[in-house]
Amino acid sequence: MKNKISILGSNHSSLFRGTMLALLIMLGTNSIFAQSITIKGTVTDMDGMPLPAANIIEKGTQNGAVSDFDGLYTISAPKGSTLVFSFIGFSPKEVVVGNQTTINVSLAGANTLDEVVIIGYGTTKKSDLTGSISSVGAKDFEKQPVFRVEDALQGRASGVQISKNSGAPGAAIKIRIRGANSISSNNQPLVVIDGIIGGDLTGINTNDIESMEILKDASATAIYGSRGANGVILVTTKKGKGDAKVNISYFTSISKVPDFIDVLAAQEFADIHGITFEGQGENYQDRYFQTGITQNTQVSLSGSEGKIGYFISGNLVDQTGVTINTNYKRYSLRSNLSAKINDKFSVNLNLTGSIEKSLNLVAGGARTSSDRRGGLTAVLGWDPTTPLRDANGNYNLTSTNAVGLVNPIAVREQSDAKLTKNNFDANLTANYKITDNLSYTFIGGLLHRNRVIESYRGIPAGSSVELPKVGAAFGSSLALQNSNILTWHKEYGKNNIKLTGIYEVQSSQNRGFSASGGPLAIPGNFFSLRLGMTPGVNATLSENTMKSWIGRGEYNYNGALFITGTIRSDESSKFRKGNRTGIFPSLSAAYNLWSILPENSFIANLKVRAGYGETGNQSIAPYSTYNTISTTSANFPLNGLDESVGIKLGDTGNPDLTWETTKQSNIGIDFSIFEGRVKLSADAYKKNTTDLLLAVPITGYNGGGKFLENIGEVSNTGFEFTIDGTVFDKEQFSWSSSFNFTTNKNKVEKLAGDQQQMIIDPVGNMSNSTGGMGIIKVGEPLGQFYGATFLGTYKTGDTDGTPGSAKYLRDTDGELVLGIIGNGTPDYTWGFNNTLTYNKIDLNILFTGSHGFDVLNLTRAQISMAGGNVNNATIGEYRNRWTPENQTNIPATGNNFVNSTRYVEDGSFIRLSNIALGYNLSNIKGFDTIRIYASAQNLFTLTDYKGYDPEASSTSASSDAGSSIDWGAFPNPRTFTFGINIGL
Amino acid sequence: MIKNIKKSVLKTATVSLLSASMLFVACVDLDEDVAEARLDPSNLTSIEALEASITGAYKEVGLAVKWSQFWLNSFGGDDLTTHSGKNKIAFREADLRVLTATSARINTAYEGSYKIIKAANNIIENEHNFTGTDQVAIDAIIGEAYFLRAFSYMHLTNTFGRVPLSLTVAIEELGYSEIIDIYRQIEADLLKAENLLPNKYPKVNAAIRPNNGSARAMLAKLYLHWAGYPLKDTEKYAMAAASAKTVIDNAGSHGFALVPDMNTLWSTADKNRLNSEIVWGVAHCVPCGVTYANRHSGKLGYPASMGGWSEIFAEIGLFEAFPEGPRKEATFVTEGILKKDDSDGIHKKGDLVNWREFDDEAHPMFRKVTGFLSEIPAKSSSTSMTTYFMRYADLLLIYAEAEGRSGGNASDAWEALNKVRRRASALPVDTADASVDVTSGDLAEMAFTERKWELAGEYIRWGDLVRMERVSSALGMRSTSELVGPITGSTAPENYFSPIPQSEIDKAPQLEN
Repeated sequence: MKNKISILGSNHSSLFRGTMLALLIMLGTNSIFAQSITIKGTVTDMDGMPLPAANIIEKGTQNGAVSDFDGLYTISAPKGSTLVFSFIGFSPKEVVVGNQTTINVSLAGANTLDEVVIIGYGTTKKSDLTGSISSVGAKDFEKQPVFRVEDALQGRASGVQISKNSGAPGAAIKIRIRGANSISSNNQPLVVIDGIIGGDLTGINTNDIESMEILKDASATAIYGSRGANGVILVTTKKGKGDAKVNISYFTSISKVPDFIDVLAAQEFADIHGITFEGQGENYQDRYFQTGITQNTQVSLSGSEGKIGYFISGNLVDQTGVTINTNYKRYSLRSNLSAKINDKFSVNLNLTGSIEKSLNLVAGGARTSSDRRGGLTAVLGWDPTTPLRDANGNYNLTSTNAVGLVNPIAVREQSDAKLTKNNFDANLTANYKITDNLSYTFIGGLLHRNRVIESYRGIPAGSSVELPKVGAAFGSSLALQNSNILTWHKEYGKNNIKLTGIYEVQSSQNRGFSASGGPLAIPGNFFSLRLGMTPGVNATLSENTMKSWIGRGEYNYNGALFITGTIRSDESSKFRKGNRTGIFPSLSAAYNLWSILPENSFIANLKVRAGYGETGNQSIAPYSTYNTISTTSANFPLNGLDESVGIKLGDTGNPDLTWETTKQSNIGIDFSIFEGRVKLSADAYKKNTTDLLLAVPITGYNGGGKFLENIGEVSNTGFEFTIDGTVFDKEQFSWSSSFNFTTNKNKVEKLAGDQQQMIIDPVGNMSNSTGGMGIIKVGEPLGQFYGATFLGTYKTGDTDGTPGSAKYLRDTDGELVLGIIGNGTPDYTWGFNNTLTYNKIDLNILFTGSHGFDVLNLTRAQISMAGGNVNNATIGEYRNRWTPENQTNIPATGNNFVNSTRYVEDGSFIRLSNIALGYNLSNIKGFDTIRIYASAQNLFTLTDYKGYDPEASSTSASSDAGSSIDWGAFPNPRTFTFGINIGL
Repeated sequence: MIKNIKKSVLKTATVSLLSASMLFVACVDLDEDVAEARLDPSNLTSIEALEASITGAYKEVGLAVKWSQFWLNSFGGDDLTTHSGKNKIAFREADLRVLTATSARINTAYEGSYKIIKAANNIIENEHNFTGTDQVAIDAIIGEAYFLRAFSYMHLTNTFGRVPLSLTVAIEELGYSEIIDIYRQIEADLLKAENLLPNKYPKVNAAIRPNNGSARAMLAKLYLHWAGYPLKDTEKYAMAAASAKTVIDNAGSHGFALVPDMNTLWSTADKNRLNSEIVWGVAHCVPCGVTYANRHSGKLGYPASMGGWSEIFAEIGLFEAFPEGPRKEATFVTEGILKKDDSDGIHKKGDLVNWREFDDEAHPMFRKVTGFLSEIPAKSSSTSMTTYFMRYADLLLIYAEAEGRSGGNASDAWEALNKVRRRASALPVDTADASVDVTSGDLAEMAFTERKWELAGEYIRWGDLVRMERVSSALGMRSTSELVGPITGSTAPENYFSPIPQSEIDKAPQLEN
């Protein structure tokens, strides 16, 4: 039935197109005989500067002319014809020839110069920007098969470092804008979607995004005050306008883990560890990983009807994981409606809802459960001589050669851990023009989230076989925001003034409860929760509120000098009275130097910018200033027979806590060369963050734990630039290129009092570490690894250690010498994006690179020798371990300190992040556009890293005290995609 | 007309938008309501809150002693050893006396003890804020808090020597306290505990909640150590003897007695695990939740050949020297069923073999660790076996030894020793029996030796060797068949105590000296 209709449709349109073609030919033929007149004029830019070598073409013909050095041109064209004026880097303009003989045209800059840029609480022209902002528009990524926002951002904006800590879908994305400010607090940027603060990037459909603006320097972010310190990402979703348009896109991908880690095969493992076994054993990596398949379908309908504009979209992502028994699904719907009620009053209502469902993707997909013994390290450390199942088809759950673990494949196969996230966002914006100069904008928004966890683990991860476990959790959050914006705008001759005043209130509430059943005597499913023998329950609530006053003044003299000043006052409920109010000012200026540039200058559109601003950070948990009592892990069977309810001291509150403050200065320059073909934008900055909200580890003798204090100082100094260029721009073939580069130097300037260093455990305790694996040290950057220096092995005849055991740097007393052994934060990153178009074929190639950082490869450390949950080394290089006959530097006995230089590896990589080849079919009856494409992501990675993926990390996306620590981290897969986009 | 309607609609819309914002604005309250979301410590003054607080403290006890590393340093004793390889490095290092500040697992004894202390400090600091009609019950719990603090500091100083002495929940910067000051604090706390605790804790079947007898018994142990290394205040022997005797004389009122059959001590049946021999110990109740399990028993005492974790073994020297008889049979497990074929192919999976034949690895096993296969499967590492800090047998032997070392020769002291000896031979404990009873000789040394057999594998022997400065001589007798190998570290007193964990020095650099 469907087919029939489309055939009918195409028949109709082919008839129509045929007729049109005939008409056009006739018109073309006719024009030869029409009477031509001579037209003269000047082509300039918007500032009146002449544009030499601009193209003037009579539309639909070969008839054309080129402007001279002063922008003057002459052309003959018939009355009623249309002239098309174009110049590289500017938007073309069409003028219909009437009776006039002089047509002067001024062209507006294309993409960049007069593009409107979203800034906090308003918009501005890109040419008027005083702050440092990177923009990524839909055009930059719409041709790529992306459904995760980080894929749309990665490598496409300078000053922005995006690390995909986990290759699992829906996992948290680590985004750093100009480095990390905070040691203990969140370093993720603030996300603002359509004016609503605190959005979430993982649930959003990339197809709905019109543009993303990344506010980098404090003069741009200070308007977000206390939450602007980590930079701000402003996401604007699409609006409907013009004729109704339907877009349908579909792609399917296959994904695989790049390369397996070299571990001992069953026979090697048996030979080395003196084990007898029969059969083939098992390749557990092969059992664990699989080819993942993704299907992504997006449909959108947009347009406008009278005063109503609409954009409606739907998206369905269905992904089976690259490890067995995992999957991810996302359903999302959006409706953006805009109504221009009259000249003064307009309203927008954006509604979006999404559901994300995942199976067995715990800890960023790295594990089956929160227990590390249910993850990659267990797969690699398990005994390869014991197959998954015995001769009777039953699981081999335990092995005498791997007594610290339960068969990790059985654990995964029998795991049913479901996470469902339901998101609903609503956002109403109403604008009323009170006078021509004064307008009021109301923004009311709500973000509603809930999370449901239903997990049943038939074979729980652990070191011995336990009964099935059941757990449940429900969490619900509601954030409300109301912003009231008054804008006043007036021109006095060449002086242009804009004033904005904002009053804003936000509140958020998180509540949740959880239940666990404990072991089940009768195996069942999640809904057997009640059968659990030792049930446990918990409930949580946290609320916070913030009230803000904001003012901004923008002044512009003759389009040459721009000055912007902002001030924001935030009052947060997280702090006590007296410490509650934070004032965050900023001032920035830009100057257009076009007037002083000589004519015929090599450099054009030169603008310099400078700014200073202060921003804050308040990302601590509510109630952090109060001592509280904890009810978790406090029960105990006091009489030895049944459980009594217990309480214990919670974290010690610090009533004096206040804002963490970041002061940032920025200078920048923008210009173009080669007649606008190459545009360059560069920025340098210095940031200082003081009064860090630092979680100071409490000594063991004070009971351990952490204590929040406003101490210390961190600085970031950096430089970043973007070059956009048109390499070729011929009718049939064009090549545009964009390169961005980011470097950042981070340094801890000060800790508490005269404290010089803090040893931390960024990924928790691990057996066989020398203690904390991270160090925060004055004078050094964040992300330093701390540990022992590996010196190979003791050899036969050595008297200071057992031959064959690992040798570490020790002092004269024989104590280990511990120190900094590496750093996990890249020195610099870059992205190189190329789009080549040849007729109907386009090719996009995106390279990204990350350099000058180390990865602490704990995955390798854990399986290199017996220790922790691993009883026998499984790593491939153990083949070449020390023996009396072959005295290598691979230890065969003794201590194996996991945080030693032995496991610190260079993580630098260059990656072909994306390569996509597309073909645009035109003249297909019934369709506006059809595009088919094939692409590959992460096709290759050049790196010396020995693990799966140097980008994957087991550290949290929000923290930087430790980064690039691979303890069973989940690798980014290599993906091949085929897709089609259809426009109707 | 239409225009007017439009206008009024617009007006209404604008007004309602503005008033909505105003409403929202008016509700802004920036003061956190902690009471809505959390428990406010200052409100917790009832006996129920006190009971919950001591439960939280016991939870910390349970967590601290869950794993064998709580007694890591005690692997130095001539009773305990571990596997020669695998992930047992820290235990080997303790066994060989080469522990360092960065040894694995070294944190547990240190941090676990201080977590108990923090919970106890919280109660002690607020001891006068609790009100209720049942003052006896309030006193008992406060007494427990003092007891737990004393117990924890005793474990700390016996393990690490000098440690910081924290007596408040406030975060403070501390250096090391001298051992004498720590001992005095423990003594003061135990005296207070004795004063506040009842003769027998109500509603508990055994001294898994201490009574005033438990406190006095711990004082006896404290004085015994006080008289030996490192303080060597030998006057304290008499106090140790007197304290122990007080408890023994009132054993009935505390419910203390030797169980007739030693085997039942390691049984996990409820009637056995909550027994009269507990002077102070922790009950582990797996049916109450796996989190309360004893994780230093069951599988941890079996070798890999039997599918065990190869963590805690008896030393061969101990096994060979151990006097034959029912106690030896109750102490050791000497054979087991193989879980895999031997690599030499002599024994196959399923064969029952003597420990000497174990391929991986040949060590005698402790019944005190493995428990009974009928109750704890070989693959289980979560058991309900009781953790004993002090058994009544221990107290009887403290009395005998302290009496002897203080120059006394009381017949009660001989009787205390003989009770233990009779039970070791499976004889009725209260009936004199010339076949095993001793009545003359060096009472102290006989008791000291008796402790070696009776308490072997209970992490007590190391402390005995330390206080008598006999580490060197005892370890010198190590069997050459011991697979972990000969002692490589120093056996001199300077190496008796464990180093403070490096992780603590990292947080408190003032402790580095």
